[in-house]
Amino acid sequence: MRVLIVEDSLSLCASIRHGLERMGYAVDTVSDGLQAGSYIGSGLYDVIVLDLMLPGKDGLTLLREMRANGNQTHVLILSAMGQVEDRIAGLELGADDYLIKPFAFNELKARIDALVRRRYQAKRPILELGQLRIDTAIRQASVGDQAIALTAKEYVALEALVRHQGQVLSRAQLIERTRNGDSEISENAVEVLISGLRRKLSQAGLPALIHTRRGFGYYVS
Amino acid sequence: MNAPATNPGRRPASLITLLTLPLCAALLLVGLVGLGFAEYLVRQRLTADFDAGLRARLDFLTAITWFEDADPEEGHEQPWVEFEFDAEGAPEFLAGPAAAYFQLWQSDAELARSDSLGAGEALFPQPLNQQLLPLGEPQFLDAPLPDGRPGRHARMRFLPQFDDDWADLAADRAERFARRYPGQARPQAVIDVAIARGELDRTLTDVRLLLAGALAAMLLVLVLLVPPIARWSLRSLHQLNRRLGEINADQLQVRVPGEGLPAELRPVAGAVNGLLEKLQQAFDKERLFSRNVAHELRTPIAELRSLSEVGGQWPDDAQANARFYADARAIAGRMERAVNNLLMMARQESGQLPLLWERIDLVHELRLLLERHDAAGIELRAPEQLWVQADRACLEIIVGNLVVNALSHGNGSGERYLRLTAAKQTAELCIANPAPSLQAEDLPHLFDRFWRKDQARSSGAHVGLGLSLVHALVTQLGWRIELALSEENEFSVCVSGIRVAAD
Repeated sequence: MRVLIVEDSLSLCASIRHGLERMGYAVDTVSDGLQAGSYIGSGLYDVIVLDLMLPGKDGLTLLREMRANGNQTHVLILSAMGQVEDRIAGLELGADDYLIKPFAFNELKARIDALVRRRYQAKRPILELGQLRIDTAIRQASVGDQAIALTAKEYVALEALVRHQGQVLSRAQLIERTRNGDSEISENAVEVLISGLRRKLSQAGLPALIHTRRGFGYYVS
Repeated sequence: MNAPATNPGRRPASLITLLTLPLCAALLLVGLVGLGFAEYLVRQRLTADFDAGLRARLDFLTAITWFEDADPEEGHEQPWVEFEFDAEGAPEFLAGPAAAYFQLWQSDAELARSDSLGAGEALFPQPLNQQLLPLGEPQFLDAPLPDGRPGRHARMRFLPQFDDDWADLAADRAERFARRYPGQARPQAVIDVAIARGELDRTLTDVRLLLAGALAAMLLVLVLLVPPIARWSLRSLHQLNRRLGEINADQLQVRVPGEGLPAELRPVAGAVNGLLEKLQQAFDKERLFSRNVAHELRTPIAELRSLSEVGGQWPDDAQANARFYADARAIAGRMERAVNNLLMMARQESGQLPLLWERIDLVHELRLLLERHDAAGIELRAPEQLWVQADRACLEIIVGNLVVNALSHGNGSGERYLRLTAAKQTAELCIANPAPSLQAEDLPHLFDRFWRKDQARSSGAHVGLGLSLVHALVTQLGWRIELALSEENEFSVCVSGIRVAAD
C-alpha cells in the first residue's frame, strides 16, 4: 500500500514515514504545497495524509483541486487546526478523515488502515483466500494457526495480490506498492521478491497460490 | 449581555417612570400656576366689579352731602355740612336681613348713619384718620358686618359740594367762600359704606370649584396619557435595547442600524457599533492568538510524540533513533524559545516586568550579544564606546531578537549590519539585513504576534513572536521603533530614543 504524506514539518514527516515503512507501507513525503500537487495528481496512492497549513499552497486548496479533478484517493487531514469549523471545512471539501495534532502514531496508522480497507471495500481487517488468512491490522499472514514470516515488502506484495484476486498486477504496479520513497527497485528485484514469497507460501502448505502471466505479471486465483 | 450591577434591594427606576413623574409634576405645576393665576384674575375682576358697586353707593351718598353757607335765621352761624338722605330712596340702608350700611363723618364727629346701623355700632374697622386718606380715592377692605355677615367695606374722604346758595354759578362758589371766610379751610367729610359680600363669595367659590374640577381633569389626563406617550416616545430605545440584547459573543459582526432611530439615539448606536467593532477585533485577535498558540504548541508536541512513539516502537534502529533524538532537541529548543517569549510578553503586559535602569556601555554589550548569537556575519558599525541608560535584561532580549531575525532572513547574500549612532542626548540602534521576499505591505503586520510571512508557519526556527516582544519592550522602555524596507529590499529596524548616560 502506498501512502503520500504532505506535511511541512520535516521531523514529523520523517518519523511518520519511518513508522509506516516499518509497518510495510510504501511512503512518499512532500513538504511543499506546490510540489504536492504533482504527487497527488499521479494517482499512485492509496491514502494521502494531508496537513492544512503548507507553504506554497494550503491543504484545503489541494483537497479542493484534487476532488475537482475527479481524484477520489482517500485523504486523511492531519492538522493542528482542531476547531470544529476547521474539521467541518476539511470534511465538507472531501476529506475522508481528520486527525488533530498531537496524535498517537498507532491511531494514525489505524486510521490509514481503515481508509485502505474502505478503498478496497473490505469492512474487516482480515483477508481470507482458501486456507490463507491475512490480518491487515497486525500485518500478519498465516495458514491455519501457522504464521508465515514475511518481510515488509513480501507482505505488501501478498496483500496487494490477494486484494486484487483474479486480476493481474504488473511488475511496475508491484514496484509502486513496495518501493519506499526515492529508492529504486528493479523488475528483477520483483521476481526475487515473488520467488521468496512463493517459497514461504509453499513451506506453509500453499505451493501454487501465486501464478505468473508471462509478459504481464502475477495474480492469485 | 449582562445587566449592569444594581443594588439588589432596590429596583432601578425605568425611563418611563423617570420621564412620567417629572413630566406629570411639571405639567401639574404649570396647571396649578395657570389655574391659580386664572383664579386670581377672576377674583380681581369680580372684586373690582363688586367694588364698583360700593363706589357707586359712595358716589350716591357724597352726591347728597352739601356744604351750606351760614344762615343765622336757620340757626347756622357758620357754614355747615348737610346730608340730604331719604331712606325711601335707598331702602337697602334700612334695617333688615339684607341691609347695607353707611356712616358719615366730619372730623371725628359722626354726621349721619344708616338706619340699619344700630346705636353704638361702627362700620369701618380701622380708626378714622382723615389725614391718611387720599381725597376722592376710596379704600376697600373685607370685614364682618355689624350683623355678623361677611362684608366688604369702603371708606372715602371727600369735599362736600357747595350748595347753590353760595352762588348761582358753580364756578363762583369756591371764590365766594374764600372771599367770605378768608383763611378758612373748606370742610371735608368721610363716608363709610359696607355691604354683604355673600354673593361675591359664592361666585368666587363657584369659580374655584370650576378651576379645581379643571385641575382634577388635567391630572387624570396626565396620569392616563403621559405614560403611554412616554412609552411611545421611547419605543426606539426599547428596539435598540432588544437589538443589543440579541448580540452575543458569536454575533459581534452584527451592527445597530442608525436609520429609524431618533437623533438622540444615533450617537448611542454609533458608539455601540464602534464598541462592537473594537470588541470584534479584540475577539478576533484573541481567537487568532489562541489559534496560533495552539498551532505553535500542538505542532512541536505532535512532532515530539511521533518521534518518541516511532523511535520507541523500533528501538533497534539506532540510525533512525539518533536522527529522532537530534530532531527532538531542536524541537524542544524551539518550544523553549516560544514559551519564554510568551511568558515574557505575558509578564510585560501584566506589568510584572520591573525595569532596572543602569549605566551600560552599549557598544560593549552589542559585541557580547553578537558573539553570543554567533553573528559574525553582522557588521558592527559603532563608536568605540557609548554609555546609555537601559535595562540590561530588556536590552539583551531586544538586541538578541533583532540579531536572530537578521541572521535567519534572506538567502544569505547581501549586507547585514548593526549601526549605532549617538546625538547629544539620545542614541539610535539600527539593524539591517536583506529581505528579498518581504514586501512593503507586510511591514504593518510585523509587530503582530505570530505573524509570519510564510502563512504555513513552516519556518521551524521562528514562531513570529520576536518582533512583537521587541515592540512591547521598546515601548515599555519609552524608546521608539521603526521599520523600513528600501527599494533594494534591505529591511531595517531602528530603535531610537535611547538615553545617553551622562559622563
